[in-house]
Amino acid sequence: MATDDSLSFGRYTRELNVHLDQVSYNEMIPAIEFDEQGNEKPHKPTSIAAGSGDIYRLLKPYLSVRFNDQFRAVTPLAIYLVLFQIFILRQSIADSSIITAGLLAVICGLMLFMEGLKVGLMPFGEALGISLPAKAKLLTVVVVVFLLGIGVTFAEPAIGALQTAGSLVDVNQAPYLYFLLTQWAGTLVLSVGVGVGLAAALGTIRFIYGWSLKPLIYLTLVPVLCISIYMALDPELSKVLGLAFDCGAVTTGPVTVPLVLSLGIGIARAAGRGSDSLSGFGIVTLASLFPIVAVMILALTLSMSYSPSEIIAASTMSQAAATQISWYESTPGVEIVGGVRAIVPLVIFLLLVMVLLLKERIPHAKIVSFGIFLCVIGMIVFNLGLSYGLSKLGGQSGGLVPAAFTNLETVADSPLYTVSLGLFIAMAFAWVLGFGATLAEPALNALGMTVESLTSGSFKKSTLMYAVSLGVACGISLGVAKIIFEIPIAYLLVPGYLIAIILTHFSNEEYVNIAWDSAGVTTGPVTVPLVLAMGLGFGNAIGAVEGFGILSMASIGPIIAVLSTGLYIRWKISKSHVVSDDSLETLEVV
Amino acid sequence: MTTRDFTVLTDVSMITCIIQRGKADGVVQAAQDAGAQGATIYYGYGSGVRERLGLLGLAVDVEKEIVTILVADDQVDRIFERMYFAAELDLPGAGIIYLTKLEKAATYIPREIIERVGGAS
Amino acid sequence: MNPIVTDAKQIVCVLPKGTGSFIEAGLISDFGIRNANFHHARGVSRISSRDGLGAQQEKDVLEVAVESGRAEEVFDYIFHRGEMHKPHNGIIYMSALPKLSVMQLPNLEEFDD
Repeated sequence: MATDDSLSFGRYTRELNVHLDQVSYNEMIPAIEFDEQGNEKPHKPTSIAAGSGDIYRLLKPYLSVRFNDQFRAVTPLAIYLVLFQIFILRQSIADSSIITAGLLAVICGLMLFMEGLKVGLMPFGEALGISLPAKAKLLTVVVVVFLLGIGVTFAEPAIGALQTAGSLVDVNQAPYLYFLLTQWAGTLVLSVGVGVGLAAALGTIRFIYGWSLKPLIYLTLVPVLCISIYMALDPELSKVLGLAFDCGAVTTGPVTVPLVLSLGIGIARAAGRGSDSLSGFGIVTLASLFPIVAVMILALTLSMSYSPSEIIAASTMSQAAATQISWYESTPGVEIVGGVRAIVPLVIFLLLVMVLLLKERIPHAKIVSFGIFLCVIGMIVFNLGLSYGLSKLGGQSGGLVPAAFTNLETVADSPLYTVSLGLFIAMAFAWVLGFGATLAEPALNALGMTVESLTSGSFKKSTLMYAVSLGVACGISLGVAKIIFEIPIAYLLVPGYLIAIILTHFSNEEYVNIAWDSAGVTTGPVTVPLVLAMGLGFGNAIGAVEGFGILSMASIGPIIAVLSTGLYIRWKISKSHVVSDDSLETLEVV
Repeated sequence: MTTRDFTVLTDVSMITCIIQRGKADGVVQAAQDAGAQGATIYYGYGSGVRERLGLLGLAVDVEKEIVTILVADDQVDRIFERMYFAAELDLPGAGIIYLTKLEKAATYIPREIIERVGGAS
Repeated sequence: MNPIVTDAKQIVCVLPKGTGSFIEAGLISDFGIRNANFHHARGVSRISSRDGLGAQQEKDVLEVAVESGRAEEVFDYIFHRGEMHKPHNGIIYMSALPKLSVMQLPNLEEFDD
């Protein structure tokens, strides 16, 4: 410290540059008020009336940060799609003004939805999760989450997307697959729902007893892989494999993931097992593995009760009736109904559990209901934007891509390029499409937000999002290759899962949790339509039996990518420790 | 318990800075540039102006980031000031920064450094 | 009513992830100190890279307030139990507290009657 007659240079410059004042805090506090009896009145801060200027100053950073977040996520994808179509495929964009408005709607919808999740749906789920195990018996808890799992599957219409993908399927070539998607479609959804329900139940029991996720993954994957290999060897059943794995991928959408995550976090917190900050994860993992088993078992049951020829005979009878039903009615009503249906019944169910079963009140009811309202509005705007903007654009480009290497009737002088260059372009297109679409996926956004909060920011949201998108991009490219070259799906999935198991074995529990959960969140409302449009385009162009499998590749990719990221970080940290210890040793020598 | 001797650090202060979520990295960067060794950052929820604004209060993030940095007494004013400006605490509603005097601290100190400063006790 | 101590210390330590509960358990078993809290945080250090993957690591932060009489003892105990004399194992610090309410768990046997 400076002595009396010397002044440090730092202090001197500071005096010149900074005007330092000291004020006693005592002078800034409000005076204590007393009522007539001489009791102290509780101090109530006056509410601030914000003028229009203040409102602008408050709202501008609030809105612009959130808008820019989503803008950054969606725009690259849109620009890429447009450029690709104009320069590579040399086609003009149809309805460009509608598409632009649609893209804007996607951005705004995402923004509203994410904010709604943050202030409404997730705090609600967490509050429920905390009071559920505290107030109800274990059996009740398990039944509630089991029902929730089934409800979630019916609420999120991603299964409908699979039926679109199945529209290619010809009954004569893949009878079991055809039968599952038409006659047994209801049973298929139900079995997926039961799979998700069981997963949620087991996941909850896991929180309460504090089990590690790793053995559960091994135990689930062994039957999955065994049945896969068995089915792959059967020429008829092998065609159902793609569907089974895709079912696992699509079950968990943008409403399910945040709800299940926050519920899980709440339960894990109430159970108080383990000091791990990420102990609320894992349900999503199980919810994407169990349905695979459920669908496989369904397919096996089917194969035992009917022979392929019986199915072909039966379905040619009902063919006429089946074609009359149109899967999609493209009115804006569909999106509004979809948005409301995905959120409102679930919230009502949870509300009933909370109020009637647990007799708890909802904390911050006003803000939470405002948030849920935002979620619904956001979901509707987002869905509208998707149908008019992103899906339209993606559908156009995706459908046109095969023109790069084969002859399409709609595209003049196709194939545009030689086969090898065209194939390369198609694969590259699939890669970038997968990357861009995943970045815009709301469920991934929510997962990233949760991971960042729970790890106190040491695992950045952007790190997770880029790692997952990278994984999805590679997965989708492989999936496209599967369709083009007609590689049996088992050849890709079995090694993929084996690699994932090996990486899991070496990884820390926290990365195992994040990685396997992120596999379930990648395939949501942005990716699925874009990828399916592309898959159908390819499938049609090539005359493939079925266009399944891309989505399942898109969920194995991120597992490997995130686990690798975790191992890389661990290696980097240990290296930095070694380097710093070494530098100290050399210090000693010097 | 076996007796093991360890060296205690004295003349240490702790700077704590509470800011809106997302701003911590910039503040830590400023502190490190000014010579701080490390920082610990965690999330918290804060109240204040938010409750007084009604629904508009939603625009004020409840989530805060709390940065704690241990600094030597000699550098405390300099780092304190740098952090103050990096966090833009001269703007209304940005946050708060305060200083706590620590009695002592202890961590791993390489033997060479102890020998160099001659503080073996 | 619980007494208020006017001479107390707060001991805070930043630990590698996962060790917080181990030390907390030790404080309970060896000292009967049940008012320790820990929370998670992220840490930046001198040797970690400025940005990029793994620049910020997850930490446990353990906080405990004790009467001055046994502050030194607890401080030393945590330092050794956390093996903080070894590199990369965190830091511990102590500051004075002007007031501390001593938390006592109710004696359950008294309630049995």
